[in-house]
Amino acid sequence: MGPSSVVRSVAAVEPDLDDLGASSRRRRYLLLLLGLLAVFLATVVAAVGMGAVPVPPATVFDVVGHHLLGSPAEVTWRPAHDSIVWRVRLPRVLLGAAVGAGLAVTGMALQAMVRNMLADPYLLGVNSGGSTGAAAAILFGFGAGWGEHALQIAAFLGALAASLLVFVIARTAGRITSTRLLMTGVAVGYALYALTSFLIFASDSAEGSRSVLFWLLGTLALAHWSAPLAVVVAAVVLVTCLLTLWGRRLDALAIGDETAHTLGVSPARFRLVLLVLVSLAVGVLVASSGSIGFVGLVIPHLARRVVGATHRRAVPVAALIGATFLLWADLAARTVLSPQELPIGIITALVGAPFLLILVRRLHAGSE
Amino acid sequence: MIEGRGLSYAYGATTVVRGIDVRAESGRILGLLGPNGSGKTTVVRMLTGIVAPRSGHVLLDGRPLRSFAHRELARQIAVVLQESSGDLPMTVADMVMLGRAPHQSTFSRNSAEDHRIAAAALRRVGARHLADRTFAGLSGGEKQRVMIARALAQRPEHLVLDEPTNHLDIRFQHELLTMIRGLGITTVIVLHDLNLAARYCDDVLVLQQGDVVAHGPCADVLTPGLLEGVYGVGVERLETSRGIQFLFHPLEAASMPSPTA
Repeated sequence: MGPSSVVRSVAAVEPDLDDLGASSRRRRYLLLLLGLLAVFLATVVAAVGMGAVPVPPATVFDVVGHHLLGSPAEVTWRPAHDSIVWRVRLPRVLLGAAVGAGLAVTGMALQAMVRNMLADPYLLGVNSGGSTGAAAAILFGFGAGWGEHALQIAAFLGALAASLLVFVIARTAGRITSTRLLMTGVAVGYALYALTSFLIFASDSAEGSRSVLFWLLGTLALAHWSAPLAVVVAAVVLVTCLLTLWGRRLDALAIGDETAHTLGVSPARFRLVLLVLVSLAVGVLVASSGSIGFVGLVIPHLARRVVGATHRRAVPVAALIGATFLLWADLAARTVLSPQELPIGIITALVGAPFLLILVRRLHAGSE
Repeated sequence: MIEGRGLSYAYGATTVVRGIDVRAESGRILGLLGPNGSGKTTVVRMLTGIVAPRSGHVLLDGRPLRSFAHRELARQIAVVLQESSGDLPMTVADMVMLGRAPHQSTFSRNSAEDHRIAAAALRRVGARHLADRTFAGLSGGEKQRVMIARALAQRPEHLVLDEPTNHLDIRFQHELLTMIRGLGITTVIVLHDLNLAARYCDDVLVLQQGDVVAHGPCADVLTPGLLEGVYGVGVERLETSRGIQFLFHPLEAASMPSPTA
């Protein structure tokens, strides 16, 4: 190649030292991550303190310190505050953060996996299966033998059955392609949605139907210190770490199957692994909180706008933004019609839909 | 050396490549030529392991292609395909850095060395100034350069390119092919422009409807008689001071399909 084609403005950088600006980009990224983490932690404190009964931040710190570290040892606050902070709000906030982060990162993985920017964690019918399971539990006492976690277990089994069904159907004709996965997920989702509606109509419990509707729109109200909460948090941490580590493979897969192949990634095998991982994670999320819409669709786009499309960077950012966003949404759900509680899905959709429209407008402006 | 023996491929019932032998000698450039639909891209996909041949096998430096693990293969062969790039707003730098992926383990970060290699690859194709742009927003020629830079960043032993000169202006077509000659690695390259093929390829393989009609050094193979038969145009071959040049003209009207047909 002739030296003439090297553009002079960048030739000023010593070629041997040229790292594409990576070190300054890395610094900026770490700063951003720290900033988002600070906002998230502040949100946690706010979300625990705010609500029908406000608790001052200082008391929040005291209560948490008392229970976690035994310091301060002496209880100087009202017992009601202790109960509200430790037994009601903290598990709920923890669940909300985990669900928000989980939906955001699984949505991002699915968008890369099927190369469709409208994909979300519910694309594969997992939430419909979960809802069917939940409806069966609430309306017909399915799984009553499992005790206090019957609802979560039934929802998880429903979610698992749905993903298994999608998986088996999408695979019958050989290897799994994006289009086949997409269409199978949509078809199974509609069928299970119909089944859930049928269950609601077949039951004669008005109150039960209302509970199912609440579930369908998503809620964090079931949170308390329990094994299911630990499972949700562990699943979200695991899936976030794995997707970050697999960031380069996700990039390659998002570009195209053939490109992935030439970069050393087997698209069929990797898609299979992702499918299993994401289905399990979303199943756990749906079982704990119903189907909370728009988070898994919108937050990945927002994260990419902030930090770019490379998954190594976008996945952790999406997790932090998703967690923060869902905590604010839950705060709104708890307080807007206080003391009555709204399903959180109403809030996320109300905020998410206009947000998506703004992103779409920007996206178009950017690509032209 | 990349070698294909008895390669066949079919899409459904349509056979597109019929038991052909291909040989890209070590350190030489093999041009894959042939009219549209002659099976060039399918041959590229078989040679790079993207699809498995229906029959026959591919050897990479004497070792069966199937015996390579995915990442191992990607360190051996870099491929530049004609494929759209997805919707993700990836930057050019991100895109080229992916060329380093086959050399990195799951837990490793992008090292300073990786970044330097990617930057050098971008310089080599004259696209260093595009590094911070969004890939999707580039022109066709710029995208082509970036994809070639990604292939170079893989630091491969073998290079396979499917119509890399598409979208490139004439000066960059020559710059690109000169650069590829300078790499000195085993290269297979699909070309439409016979003059470029004659100038830059050591050997050529000419395909017609899935069969090999000629395979050998450029000057021996690219005769007017052969090309007229394969491409259906009149060909005049000139031996100039700067090598072989072809002039093309339509064949007699009688042998052409009627425009109203």
